[in-house]
Amino acid sequence: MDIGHRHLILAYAATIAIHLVYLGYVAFKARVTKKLG
Amino acid sequence: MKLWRWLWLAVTLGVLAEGFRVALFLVPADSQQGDVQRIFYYHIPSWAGMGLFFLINLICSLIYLAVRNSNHQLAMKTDSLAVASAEMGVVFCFIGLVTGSLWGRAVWGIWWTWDARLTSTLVLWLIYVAYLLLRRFAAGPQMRTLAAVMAIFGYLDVPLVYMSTRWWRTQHPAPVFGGAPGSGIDPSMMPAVWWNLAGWLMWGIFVASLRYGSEYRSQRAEQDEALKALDAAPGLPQMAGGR
Repeated sequence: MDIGHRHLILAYAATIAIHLVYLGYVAFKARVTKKLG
Repeated sequence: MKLWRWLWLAVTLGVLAEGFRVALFLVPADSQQGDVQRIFYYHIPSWAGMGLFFLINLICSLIYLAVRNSNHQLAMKTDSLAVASAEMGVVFCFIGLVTGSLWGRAVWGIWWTWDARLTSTLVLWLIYVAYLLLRRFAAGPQMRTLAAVMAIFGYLDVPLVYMSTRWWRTQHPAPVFGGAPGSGIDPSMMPAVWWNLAGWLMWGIFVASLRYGSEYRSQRAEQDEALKALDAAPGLPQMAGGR
């Protein structure tokens, strides 16, 4: 696999991974604050 | 989670899946760069998302400053939305920097260069990270006011980022959209742009709305605690009303 294809896959994977990490943080915050009422 | 949120999420995931299919398998590869140019279809929505959410942050900060002493409910809502939009904007900006760096390494041979667009964007990211750190670690009643003022000054870098490739011709390519006459991409590539733009903006709105909800609940609980403490304090007149 050449660098172009490798970096294309990496860019797509990084985009999805960063969004999922942030979604995890948001879900955590939502769970914590739900207990506050 | 409410029904409309589930529906929104289902449609968003559908649009993102179609965007992925169109960007990777349907639209033609770039005649000069080849397949690596397909990073563009994730790179551009990240900047669009960043622009949208930092703009929301600016508007909310301005409203917060205007109503903070006269309408506490609206102030709390706009401040909560300011936090949610700043975080979402920082996430999109970070993705733009990461995908741009991966793309740059493949086509320029370098991960990073201190050119006008890249540097001004990094500074913008750092400004909003500082904004979030201020909100996280500064204490006291003036924190929200300070954060709103900082957001207004921070937004001044957004037009600079946008114009940087127009004012200075350095490493980063000239603007693809809204640039010089003849700029743009082949019309056969546009479906990938539209699908991904729509999908990622819908995703951003979905996640920011969740974050807004939790921030608003948290601020309301904080206010209720403060009101209870005031009511319980001996020698102080009883507070009228609550929320």
